Amino acid sequence: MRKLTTFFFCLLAALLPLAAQNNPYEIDDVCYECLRRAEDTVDDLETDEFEQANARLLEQSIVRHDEKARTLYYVFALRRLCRKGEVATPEQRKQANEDVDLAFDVLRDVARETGLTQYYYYSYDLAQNYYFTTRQISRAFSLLDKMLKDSEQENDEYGLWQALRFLAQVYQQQLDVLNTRRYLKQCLDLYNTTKDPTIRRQPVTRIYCDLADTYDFQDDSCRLYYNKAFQSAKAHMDTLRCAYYQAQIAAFDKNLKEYHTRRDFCLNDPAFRSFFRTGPEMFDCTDAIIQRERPSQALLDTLYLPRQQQFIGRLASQWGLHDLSLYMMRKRFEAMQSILSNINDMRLEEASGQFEAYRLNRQLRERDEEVALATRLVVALLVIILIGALAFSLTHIRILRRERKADEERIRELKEANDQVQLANAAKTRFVQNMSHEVRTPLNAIVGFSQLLSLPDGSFSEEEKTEFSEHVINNTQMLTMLLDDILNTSAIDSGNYRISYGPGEVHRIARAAIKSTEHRLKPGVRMYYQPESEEPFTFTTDPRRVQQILINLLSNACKHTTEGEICLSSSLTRRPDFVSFLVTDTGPGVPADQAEKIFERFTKLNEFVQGTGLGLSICRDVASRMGAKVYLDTTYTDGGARFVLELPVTPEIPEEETTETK
Amino acid sequence: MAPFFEQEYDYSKYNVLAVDDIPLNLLLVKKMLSRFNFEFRTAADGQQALDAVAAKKPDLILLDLMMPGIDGFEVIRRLRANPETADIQIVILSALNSNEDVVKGFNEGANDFIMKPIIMEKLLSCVVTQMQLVAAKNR
Repeated sequence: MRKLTTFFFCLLAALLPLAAQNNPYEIDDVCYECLRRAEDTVDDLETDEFEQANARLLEQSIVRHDEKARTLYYVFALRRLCRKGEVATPEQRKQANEDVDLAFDVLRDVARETGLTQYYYYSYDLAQNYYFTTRQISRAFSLLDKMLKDSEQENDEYGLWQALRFLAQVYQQQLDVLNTRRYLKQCLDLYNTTKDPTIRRQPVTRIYCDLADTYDFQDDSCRLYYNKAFQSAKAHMDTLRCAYYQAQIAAFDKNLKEYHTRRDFCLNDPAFRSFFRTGPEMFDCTDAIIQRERPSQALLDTLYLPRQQQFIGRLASQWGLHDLSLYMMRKRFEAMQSILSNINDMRLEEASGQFEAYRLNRQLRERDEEVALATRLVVALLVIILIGALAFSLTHIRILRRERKADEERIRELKEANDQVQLANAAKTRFVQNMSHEVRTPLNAIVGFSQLLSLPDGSFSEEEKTEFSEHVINNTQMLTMLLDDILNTSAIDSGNYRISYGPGEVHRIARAAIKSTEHRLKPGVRMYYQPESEEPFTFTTDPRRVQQILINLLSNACKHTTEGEICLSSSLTRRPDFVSFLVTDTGPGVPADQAEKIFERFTKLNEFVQGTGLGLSICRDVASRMGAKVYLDTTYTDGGARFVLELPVTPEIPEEETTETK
Repeated sequence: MAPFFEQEYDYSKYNVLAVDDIPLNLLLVKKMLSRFNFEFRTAADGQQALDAVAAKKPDLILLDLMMPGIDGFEVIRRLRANPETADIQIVILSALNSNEDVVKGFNEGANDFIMKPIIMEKLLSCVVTQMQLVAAKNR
């Protein structure tokens, strides 16, 4: 490729009649500097030096109004793309083809605009060579067709000349004798009729020789065209080529004198081998055949051109070496065969490449459709999820709002109750103050966490929100308990408190109390009921009040016991005529001197354990109304505390209270 | 609450110490202030609070009053008595709500007083104000 393009540019330079030695393109000197750099780097695909140099060429050509330099910029751009396309992978081939075609079209437009169409036609060589190198023969042919049409349409004889020559060359390479002959003849016709000096300057010797080669040696046409070639060679001072062919014909005609003269002339010319690469070997073979000897196999193997093989074969036949003739003919046939099969391979490759491209295209289109479908599905799914999440969070918020409203209601109730207590008894100021703190603690949690819950989504995670809800619920329960205590105290104080006597079963009361307090147990603490006897025992009492007292005692035990156990036991024998309940824990216990104080209102042993300090006082009040007794067992010293509730088996029942219940 | 949640605050270079004997209250305050990205520390009583201040001087203390051992008033008194810690911003967060308690708190040297139950907007606006004061002081 490199060789070819270099050759092409030499040709290009040679075509310009007044080419300066150091500026063969006859362009602006500054532009020529850029062009030289571009030419030096055009094959260097590793760096982008070429792009820079060529860009500078364009820039300078515009600045200096050098139309030729500007056109050359496009020629080089095309050359670069062809070079790149040659090394492109099959996947990149499509893009490379498009790039080359586009660059080619741009060059054509520019060349027409600047009136320098010869550059456009020169550049066919580049594009055509690109297609041959990349084995895309169909494209090369369609390119030549296009060139032919363009040049005919534009009546550009030079373009036509180039197209015909390329076509002939291509067909010659493909061993298509008839087409080669056809285009060569058209070439010659054009040459003989044209007035275009550029064409007239072209040496046609080669064309005549090529044309002669399409005929058999015995054919008159062969002789005719060789003669024309000689004349043309003479006219163009191409004596070497002329002598070479004359020598061959002389050998064939057994004109030995003529042959030797021509042969010596050729061999004495130092440029001979550079013109005909295997020329000397051809003469050696011919010499051997004239001696009627078979040339050495090594010598025969150097002749690789089908034309040469054909000549030697015919020559051998002429001189009676029929074996050699047969051999050379077979060899030529094999060479042609390999060329043809190679060409077939190339066509097949190209065709399958096109098929592959088509298949790839279709696959891509199908994949695009799949992706589009998948995208649509995903979007739909997302929308559904989003709507679901939205609906969920909306209901969640609504529930929370409702809960909050309920809490607020409770708070309002509590405040009302608080107000009542305050109004009822000025002596309860201390109680209220204490209560304020007690109430505000759960209230703080309820209000605070509710506020966090009502914040816009995204502020907290679902886990956190669940945790907050739990805090709200727990503290609401705590607040409810507090409220119950306060209301009870208030009811007791106002005398608005009734004992409803009825039958009560010891074990049932105890078990119910345990059940109601189990959830208050600190983790790791065990609570159980231990009756003295499993036998049921029913007596007259207010079972609900008893249960309330036991719950109070058990709750206190739960509050203070962080490890160990809480035991509720019952006994009928501990104190005769009394049912005794004992609540024993393994908590910190109560100092003996505090035994009575804890039953006073608002007394808390540990100020920082939550509670109203009302519980024990309520227990004692309720118990005394039933003729019962609640006290701290100070004799119990096994660690922890023991509270005792003693209920009379046969209580004294005031008149109104029995009638109320029965 | 809107202004505090539309605006992004980054107080990550400030240190806040919350003091309360009830863990749930500490959790609540921490969650309410989570948007501000404070370096957040907690203490369960007065002694722990003083220790925490000695370990690293906070920019702001959110202080409960009723605590076992050294109570909130005493904590303020001790911090104000020490020139090293006298300039810390202190906000009382308390369920005590009588006028006497509030006045006493300010007399001891508290910078602000917030009653429980805490209204989030109040707490946040108070904290923003305090942080602006801290920033002004640092400048």
